[in-house]
Amino acid sequence: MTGGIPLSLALEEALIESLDVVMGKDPHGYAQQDRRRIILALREQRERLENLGSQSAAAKTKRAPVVKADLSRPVPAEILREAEEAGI
Amino acid sequence: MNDQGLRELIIEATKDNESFSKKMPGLQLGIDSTSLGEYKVCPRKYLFGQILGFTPQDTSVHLVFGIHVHKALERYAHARAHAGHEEALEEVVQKLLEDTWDKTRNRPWLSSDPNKNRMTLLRTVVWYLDRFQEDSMETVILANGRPAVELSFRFDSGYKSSVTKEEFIFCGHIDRIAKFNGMTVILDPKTTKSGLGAYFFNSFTPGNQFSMYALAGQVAFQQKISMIIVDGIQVLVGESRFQRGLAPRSPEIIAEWHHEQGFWLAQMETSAQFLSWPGNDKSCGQYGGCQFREVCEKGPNQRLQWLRDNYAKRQWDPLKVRGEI
Repeated sequence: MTGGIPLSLALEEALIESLDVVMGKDPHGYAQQDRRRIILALREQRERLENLGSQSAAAKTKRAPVVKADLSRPVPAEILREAEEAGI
Repeated sequence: MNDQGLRELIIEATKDNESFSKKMPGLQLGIDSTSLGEYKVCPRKYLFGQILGFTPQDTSVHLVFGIHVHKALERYAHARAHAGHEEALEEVVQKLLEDTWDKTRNRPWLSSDPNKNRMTLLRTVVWYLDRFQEDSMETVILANGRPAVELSFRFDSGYKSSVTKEEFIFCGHIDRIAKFNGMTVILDPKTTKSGLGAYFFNSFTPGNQFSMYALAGQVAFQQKISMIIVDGIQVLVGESRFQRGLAPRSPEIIAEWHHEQGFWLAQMETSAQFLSWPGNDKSCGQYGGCQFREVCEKGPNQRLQWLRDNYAKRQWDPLKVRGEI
């Protein structure tokens, strides 16, 4: 966290700010590096979003309930017999 | 307004418009899917927008955004003929930045829409081209040896005005014709703020625009089109998403569509003949609300002044090739 703002958001804002500076200039005077910078910044945005998406999917999987026993399978006959004999 | 006043107004509005008859004021002969669609939705809306050329002051940001996306994808297709992906992408980005630069005010194009502005436009185009740079579709080569991209079409619709005997011409613009799984398809990108689910893709079938495109593929380009592939582009504030969907058009459906347009062209002719473009009050709330709703709320004698005071003017001439409009 950076002062209460999630890091990913802070990074994104910084990136957009720098993109804004480049894109605020008259493009007729652009050099190749200006164009590259814009393309790369937009790709970074996409990658960060994809990473956030996969992290959130992983977190969901982590939080998913763990199945401790398979209740759909029939209880073996010998266990039922033992339980009956034990008066359970 | 009386008939004479309306006739004079129409003559003035369409005098330089090639798609309108010079024999019968208000009779459109060069018909694109937008004009036809607008007439079907509401004849009065068609009169205001297509014939008289009124348009909301703030030209729809969705329209501007869509035009820029289409243009960028066309440029990319051209650039790829002589360059690799990265080089072509740079060329597209440069042109897009120049196209969205207001030279007179020396500032970027400003949009009040958080979804559709200069930044989201650049992002959408770069992400889209990165994703589909090597799609599996092979562009069709036409009989004249040229690749089937950026195709402006016009062809005889097979219908004539019963009054002036002039031919109705169908016209428009197709982005690309390609081969996909052995089928010949038309590709068309569509931007939206809404989701890219079945509701979005189903909205194109049945549909006026793609039926005309499929017919054009057959008649104007001698290609048997069985499908339109819609590249759905969802533009959100923080991201752009993409999904491809299908809009099928069987030969029977295309033939039926062509047959039924005779009815609509006759209706358009009747409207021009009697200077009567009635409002369709069942359409006022459709598609997010008609842009002329506030005009129709006024009395018939106040509407023209309201249009002049509150709307901009432009000419809708579909016979001009794209880029001239």
